[in-house]
Amino acid sequence: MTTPQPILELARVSKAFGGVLAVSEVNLHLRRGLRYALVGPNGAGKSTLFNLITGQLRCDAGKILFKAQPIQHLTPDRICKLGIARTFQISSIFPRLSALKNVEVALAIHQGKGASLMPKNYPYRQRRAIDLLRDVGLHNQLFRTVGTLSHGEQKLVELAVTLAIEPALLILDEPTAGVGVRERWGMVELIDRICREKELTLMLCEHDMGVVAELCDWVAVLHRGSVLAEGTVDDIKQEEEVRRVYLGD
Amino acid sequence: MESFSVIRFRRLKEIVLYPYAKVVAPLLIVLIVLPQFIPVIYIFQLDAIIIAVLFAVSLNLLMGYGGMISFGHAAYYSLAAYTTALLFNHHFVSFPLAFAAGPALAALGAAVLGVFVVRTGGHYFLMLTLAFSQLIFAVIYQWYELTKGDDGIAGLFVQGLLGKPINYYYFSLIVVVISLTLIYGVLHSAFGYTLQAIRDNPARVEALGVRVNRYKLLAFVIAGYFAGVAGSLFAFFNGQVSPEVAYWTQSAEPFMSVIIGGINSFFGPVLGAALYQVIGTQLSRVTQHSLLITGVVTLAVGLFFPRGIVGSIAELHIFERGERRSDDNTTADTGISEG
Repeated sequence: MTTPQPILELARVSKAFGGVLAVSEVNLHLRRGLRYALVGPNGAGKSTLFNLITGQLRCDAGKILFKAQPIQHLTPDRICKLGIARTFQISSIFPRLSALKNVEVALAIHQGKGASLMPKNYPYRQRRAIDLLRDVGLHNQLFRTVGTLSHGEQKLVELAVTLAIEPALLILDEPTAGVGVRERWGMVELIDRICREKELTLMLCEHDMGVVAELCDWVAVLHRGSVLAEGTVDDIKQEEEVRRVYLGD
Repeated sequence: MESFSVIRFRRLKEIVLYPYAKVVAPLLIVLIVLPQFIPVIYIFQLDAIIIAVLFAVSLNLLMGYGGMISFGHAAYYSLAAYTTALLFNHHFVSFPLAFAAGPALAALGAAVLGVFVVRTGGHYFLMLTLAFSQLIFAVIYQWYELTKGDDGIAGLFVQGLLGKPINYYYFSLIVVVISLTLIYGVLHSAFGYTLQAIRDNPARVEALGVRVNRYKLLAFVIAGYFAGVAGSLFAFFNGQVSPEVAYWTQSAEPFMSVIIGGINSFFGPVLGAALYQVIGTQLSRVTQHSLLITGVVTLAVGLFFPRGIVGSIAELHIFERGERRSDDNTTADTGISEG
């Protein structure tokens, strides 16, 4: 049996902020279709790692390969065009635009029409936007200014915006942070369904081990910038050291 | 699914297009008919107002929609005014050509400065645009051989049909209406919405695959171009240009108009500019202290209507309807359109 080609590969990736090693020699392998979770205490370097992958930050050392192509030197817009989409920890939307326009802008950009100066309605684009918003269950809020939606709904808009660029790899930075308990499981179900339908590779970081257990099949524990342990959710729960640094036992 | 989308489109059309017609059409009719019945002095004033409106709206493209607070918009206004004036008077270029060259050079100036300033934001952006406009002012003021310095360039009169004030007014009106329509179109294009998205959240737009600075530069150039159109209009309207058109007070005028009218809507600066002009010219006829009143009005707007006059009216409407909805670019736009 041959192992599938990894979609994302990190080799000895490091990043320091003024002498503090935020990420230190991290190696990761994500094969296509995998659901990968990064867990770890606050300040472990999870968001930094995401920022390195999506180009918001530059690595000090190491290599990042996406579909066997080095991407560590590329800017965020180029990386996005290759097919990596992400959400941010603090929900990151366009608060003064309607939900529909939020997604339409993303679609226009994805089609390379973001700079078009023609004030036209594009029925196809609008229909796609409505479909995407229906996918995340927001079709009743199309014309609401996104800034007035609830926090959970804003996260959904962000997800729709992210999906508009048809990524191969979806990176979610704490998808359920600050979302109410009831909305949380809706969110988990939604992410699960979307990844299955669109055959996405998923990488997320999350504090709630319940969410991780439900969504992901592979977990890496990050502590002080390096990978402490890696394995299935059950494996990780068994590990002594992990319990000590993270699960607080 | 199909019918669902179609319903939405129809609704969008109703909200965006129809209500504007209700406000804009009567206003246009007034602007067309009124000059036939008023003394020529008022025609001049009306002309000054519509030119100021274009100038303010071009600035609002940057401030309201691009989130770039510029305090040097006079740079492009004056570049165009002087280009037009010099070509027309000293080089005997025909009126249409001279008139078209002004905005083109203004856009070029905006492009040159834009390359540097779009990388910055906030106060830095404000200070750099101010510095550039003062630079233009200094050049105009001191390069006597070319610009005649403090004397300015006089004698800008179009021969023939446009020589009559009322005809020049109609010419201005046509140019301004076309320009505003173009700006409105740009703001409601994919580019316009992307620009607003950048204003709201640049990091997110970048993560969607956009070189943010290029978009900001394009917005900067477009704003510069239309400021230039206003500048060229002003040159022939005024009959002469002097260094004051490049001074920072000239930048303050559209700036105040945008603030008074409301930064969050397309028509805010239209109202703001009209108000600013009327206060400036009409009150100075009855009192020496018209600037004081301008100051008080601005202060009052800042204190009681922080979103500007149009923005606040729009907010009231939304409040009454008990919902917030945005079909278009901002809540303010919807508000006024349904008023």
